[in-house]
Amino acid sequence: MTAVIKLLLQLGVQSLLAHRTKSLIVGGLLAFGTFLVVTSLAVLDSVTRATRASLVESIAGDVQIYSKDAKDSLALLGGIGFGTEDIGEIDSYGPVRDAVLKVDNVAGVVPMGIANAAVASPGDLDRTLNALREAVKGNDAANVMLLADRVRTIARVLQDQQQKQAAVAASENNGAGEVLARALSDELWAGMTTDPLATLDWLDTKLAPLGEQGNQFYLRLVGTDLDGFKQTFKRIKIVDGEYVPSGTRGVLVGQAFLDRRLKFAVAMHLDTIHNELVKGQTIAANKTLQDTLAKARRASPRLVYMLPPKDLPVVTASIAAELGKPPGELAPLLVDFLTMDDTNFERRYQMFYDVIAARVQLYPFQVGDTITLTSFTKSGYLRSINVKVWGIYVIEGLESSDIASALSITDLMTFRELYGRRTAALDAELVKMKAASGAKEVNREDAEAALFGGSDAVEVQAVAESAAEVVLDKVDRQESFTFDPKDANEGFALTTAVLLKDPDKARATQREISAAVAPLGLQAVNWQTATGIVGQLTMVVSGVLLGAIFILFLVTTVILNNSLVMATLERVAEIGTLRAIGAQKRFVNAMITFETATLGALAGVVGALTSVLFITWLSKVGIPAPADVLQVLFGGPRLYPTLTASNVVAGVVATLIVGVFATLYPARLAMRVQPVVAMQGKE
Amino acid sequence: MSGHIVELRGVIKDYPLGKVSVRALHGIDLSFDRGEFASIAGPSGSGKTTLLNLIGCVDVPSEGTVLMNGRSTGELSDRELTELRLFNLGFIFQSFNLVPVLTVAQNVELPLLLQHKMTGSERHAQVVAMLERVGLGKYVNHRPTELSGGQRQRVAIARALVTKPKLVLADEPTANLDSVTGNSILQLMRELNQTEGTTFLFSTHDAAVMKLASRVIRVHDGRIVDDGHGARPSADTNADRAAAAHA
Amino acid sequence: MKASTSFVVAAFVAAVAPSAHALAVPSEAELVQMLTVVDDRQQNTGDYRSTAYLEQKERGKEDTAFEVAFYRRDADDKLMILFTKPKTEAGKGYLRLDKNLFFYDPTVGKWERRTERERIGGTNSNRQDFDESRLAVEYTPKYVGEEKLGKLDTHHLSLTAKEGADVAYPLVDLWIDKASGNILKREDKALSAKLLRTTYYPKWNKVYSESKKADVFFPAEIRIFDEVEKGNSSLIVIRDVDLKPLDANLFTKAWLESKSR
Repeated sequence: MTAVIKLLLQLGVQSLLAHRTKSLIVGGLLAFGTFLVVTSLAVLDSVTRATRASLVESIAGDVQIYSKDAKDSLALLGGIGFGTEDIGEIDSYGPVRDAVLKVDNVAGVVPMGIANAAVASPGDLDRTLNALREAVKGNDAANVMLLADRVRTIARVLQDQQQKQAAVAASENNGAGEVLARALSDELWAGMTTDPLATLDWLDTKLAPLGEQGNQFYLRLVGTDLDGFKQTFKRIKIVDGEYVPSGTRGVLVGQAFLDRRLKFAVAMHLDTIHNELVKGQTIAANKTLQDTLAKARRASPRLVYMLPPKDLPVVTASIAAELGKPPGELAPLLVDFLTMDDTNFERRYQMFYDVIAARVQLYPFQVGDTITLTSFTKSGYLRSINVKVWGIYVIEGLESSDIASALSITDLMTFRELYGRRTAALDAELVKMKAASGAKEVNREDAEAALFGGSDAVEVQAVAESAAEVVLDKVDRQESFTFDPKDANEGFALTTAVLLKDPDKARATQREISAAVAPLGLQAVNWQTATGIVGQLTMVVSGVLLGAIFILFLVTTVILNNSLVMATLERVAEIGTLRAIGAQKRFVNAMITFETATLGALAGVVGALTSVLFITWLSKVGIPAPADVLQVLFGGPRLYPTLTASNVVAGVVATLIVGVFATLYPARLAMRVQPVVAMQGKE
Repeated sequence: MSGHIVELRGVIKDYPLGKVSVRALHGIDLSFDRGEFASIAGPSGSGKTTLLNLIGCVDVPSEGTVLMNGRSTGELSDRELTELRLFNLGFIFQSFNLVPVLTVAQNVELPLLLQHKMTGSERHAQVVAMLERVGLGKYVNHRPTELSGGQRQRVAIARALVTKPKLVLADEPTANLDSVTGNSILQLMRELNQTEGTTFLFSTHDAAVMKLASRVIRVHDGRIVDDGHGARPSADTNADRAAAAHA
Repeated sequence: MKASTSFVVAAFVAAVAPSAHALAVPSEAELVQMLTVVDDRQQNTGDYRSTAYLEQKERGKEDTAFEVAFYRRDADDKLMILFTKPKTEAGKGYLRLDKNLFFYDPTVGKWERRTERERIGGTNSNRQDFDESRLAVEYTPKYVGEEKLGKLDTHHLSLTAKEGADVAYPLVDLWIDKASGNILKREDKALSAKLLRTTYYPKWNKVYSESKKADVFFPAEIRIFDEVEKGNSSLIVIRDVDLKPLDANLFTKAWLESKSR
């Protein structure tokens, strides 16, 4: 038996050697296929591991639990729209936590809720006037002086702009000139001491509209048990400020989110250019960068009044020195300064941060500030709430990804207020109000009949009494900023995140969790589904890659099949002879198959080995993430892939399968060759 | 009557050709005994090839019987037929038909290997003996491409005879050889026929062969038109006499 | 400011609505005169105060309702709205001075300023809805005919905005009660004549004005139905109207803040 096998092997090898070129080509194709399979599987596995680390260990957990009745699917990092998805509610988190903790392999459980809130970012003038009003109310004379100075500085800049405009375009004089003149007059400011409120009112009404309009920015917040969150999601690191103390309300904002979305425009644009230059781009060659510089220049006038007045001379002097010009008006100097090219960009970029940025507020808020979040609640009403920014966070390894830090993290109490469920108390109050109004319920369809069909005269009532002065009950101000975490953790949330000890058992554990929470009316999904588009990207990328590989293998099979068929046809004489002298069909079949198997095995080994070498090299060098989205998938700016034995095995097996499939038809052909006794042809 | 190596009785062979079928053999009766040195002659299209296919157990008759070693080939499966060939027949082709990637010894060993009846050393001994017999003892590990035409045909002969078959079918064995070489090949085969008693059946036009043959069968239009004895070589053997007694 | 709130409030502010003198089939000039009278009847050069109940239904959202105290001074065009109910809204307010719209939320102690030229709170209401009725000045009337509205006889007028008039609705249809001269129904249309909203004024009040030395009329109930987003509607009920002079420093930020202290 073994002798036959030896013979077949020898026949196989000899045959391959006899047709060296063809064997190399086909073998090369197979080897390439194996290489591709092994490499792709290794990279994909690495990506999945990296994505998991990015998302699972930072915020999503391995499993997310939420209501079965949810109308939309959970999309933690934002779905297609930025709207508020309907993911149902978890009335009481306590029982969910208890049920989940009973399951093996659970490392941590944390309640979560997503809310969107708007934060108003008023223009500088409005902001200063508001602060001035506060200072006046608080009798803070020192601050009043400082802020009054600021107002005047801003007014001067506005006056400057307005005069320039008036000179260029004969536009209508809507009184701006007079207002600005009065705003800079001593007479007005004298009024600050005699009748501050009236002065303030004038400033608010007349001067404020001339200032820059404010804008709003939006925060997507995840409210959670902050203590448990810190323990479970260890990849969150505070880079500025501190973590929110236990039992305290507060919010943590992502660094990259701040830098990409909320940073002062000039700084943000310069950052963008700097990052691109580091990657090897040049300003000269890149139109987009030139446009960005132009944007920075356009945003620069603000700098003049963002800088404290006492610093203006120093800054002006530095900028002027850099430009080699005499010190003068700062605004035009800045525009010149920001006309940068590849030779001076880095130096001026550094200067910008050293001289200018250090003296202004680059972000709409700073660590320690209290910001006002406004949300359109589920109850139908708007709700505003003050919350302190305790710190800025990054996700380890994903420091420069703004998708990773897209969520702001806050406590459960803040979340609940922003989410704003409709309460029974509110409903009851509304019913009372409706009754007191005396109006009846009317449909659109029979409105006219209902309203005008009663009598043939319109009721016109004379009112004689005067209304009483309006007195309000004590208004609910937001007083407390602390709460009892134990209580908080029993109540309302939207979802629950679960982190597992052993991610390889994820599927099984997820099933167990699913079963455990089903009686509570909840469902459990894995992190790929829960993180929305970002997590599903891994699945999409896998699908595409595997699809491509499948096609490659299909093509290889066809090519291999073709070449084998041709070879078989060439050997009809040989096969016929063998059959004649007594070789069974099975022998002939084995002969063909062995040839392919030998080639396949060799090619597979070569391909796998090449892949191993390649991956080893990649694991040292890393694959750079070309886009920010991919950073989350890559676990950072670069992916360092690793190889597992199963990847290699899969590659070799794939090649063998291709070989087998390719051989099927040629082997069949060979078996059908008739044994030859008398030859009609020549040698 | 047993004793015949192969016997054809009323053999008819039809081939389908589109909607009609063509009759290649019209009721052949033929038999061969041990030690015969016969040849079959006939023009192309005469049915000679068909006849050889049937005798060579590569094909089976449409009607009638072909008995090889007492077994009717018509009742055998492809597997059984192949076995039959393996143990009872040997083949020599005009194009030698050696496996180019194997050595001379490996080529000759092939049928023994397929038989699964000997150990490696036994096979090797048999192969070497056979090669010595055909005068190629020194070429054991050569490749066929390194040999001349005549040498290759000797290898083919060695392969055909290594299993000690009862019948060897040789199809135009000298067609690709010059007359001198061809002659020596024929002499070799005649020698083996006389010493081993192996029946040789040639398919040929070569007059030299026919002269050497003790029996010449002529086929024409699917029928045997002549089955006579050609000129015999001078030395009669016992086998010849025995065969003549049975004819 | 929440969309629906503004919408309601804005409509409410336009509430001191026109009413018309009952006339026979009129000529163009007479129609203009009718409108002038309509505008005039609601004209009040003094101060105005009332309390109102506002209810908003929006498809797909929870129903909301408010109670507000409303103040207006025609003399210098100032406006103040103070929310009194429900409890979660109490103390919030709007203050309009010149072209500025200020919003105050006592729960966070913050003021926000918007320029009035904006779409207020993202709604379709704008400055017009806050101003007094100027139908005679802004529109050209056409007489459509006498029609019955329920059991009531009305004049149906069709109004087209004049060239250059800065109005929210280019086409308006009015149904004026023959007997009392009050507007009962109003249809606001786009330039394409597409019906955008229908407003009903089924109940009216009148108050004697010292400054005007005459009655001022205003609707006690307003029902607005959105004809584009069917299912959206608003209800406004006005009571406790007072035309006595208001406190001098009422239209200030300080006053609004003081209410919730």
